[in-house]
Amino acid sequence: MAKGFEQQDGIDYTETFSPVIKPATILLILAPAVHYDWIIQQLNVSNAFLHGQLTDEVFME
Amino acid sequence: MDSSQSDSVCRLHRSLYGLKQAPRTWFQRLSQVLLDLGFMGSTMDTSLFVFLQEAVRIYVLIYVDDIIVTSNKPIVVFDLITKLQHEFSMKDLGPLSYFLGIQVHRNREGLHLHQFKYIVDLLNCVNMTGAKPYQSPCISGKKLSKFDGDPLPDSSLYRHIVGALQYCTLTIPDIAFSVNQLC
Repeated sequence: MAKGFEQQDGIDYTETFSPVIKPATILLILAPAVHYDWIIQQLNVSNAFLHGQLTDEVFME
Repeated sequence: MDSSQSDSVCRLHRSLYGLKQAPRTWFQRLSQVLLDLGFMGSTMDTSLFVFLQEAVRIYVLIYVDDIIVTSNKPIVVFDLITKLQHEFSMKDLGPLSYFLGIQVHRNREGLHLHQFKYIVDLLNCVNMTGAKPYQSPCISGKKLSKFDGDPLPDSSLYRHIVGALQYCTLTIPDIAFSVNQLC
């Protein structure tokens, strides 16, 4: 595990955004799926954070 | 890396768990894959991706590494899952059953959403599993004051409980007013 709390301030440092779903959106999507009897599949990505590509230089001890 | 050179640092090419950038680089990667497949990012909610072409519509909801896919054409859902599995190692958890603490049961009448497990976990956490159920969740006409009673030794526990109760309003909107009074 990288020690994120020890990261030095720099470019790209503040851009930590990853969206979270609004509860209303879940209901909004489930509503037509139920109404029209669509299938709803669920997936889980293993080790998701290892898939990211760094665009800026990050060094680690 | 030579262990004798203890002053050395590694330059990271890929993201790691614990990095500040980790959630963002992951989301960028996933959304780029979806955009390349012809999806559009929703302007209403960035975690929603929509595919609309001819008679096919696919909706993809993303919560970090949890993904829900629904479509009017079952075959394209499995086609999409295969394409995504080509990019990332990914588990197909089957029909939606448990998502963000919400349990989902499908029956002939539709979908039944509930948070039974989430609520039991909350009761366990605050040692209230033996508490008696009550018809109405708050006394009418009573105004709560911050000067009543003794303050909790750990105020973050209170915030934890109230936050959890707010999440419960997703499937139990009846308690929304009472929970709001606690805030």
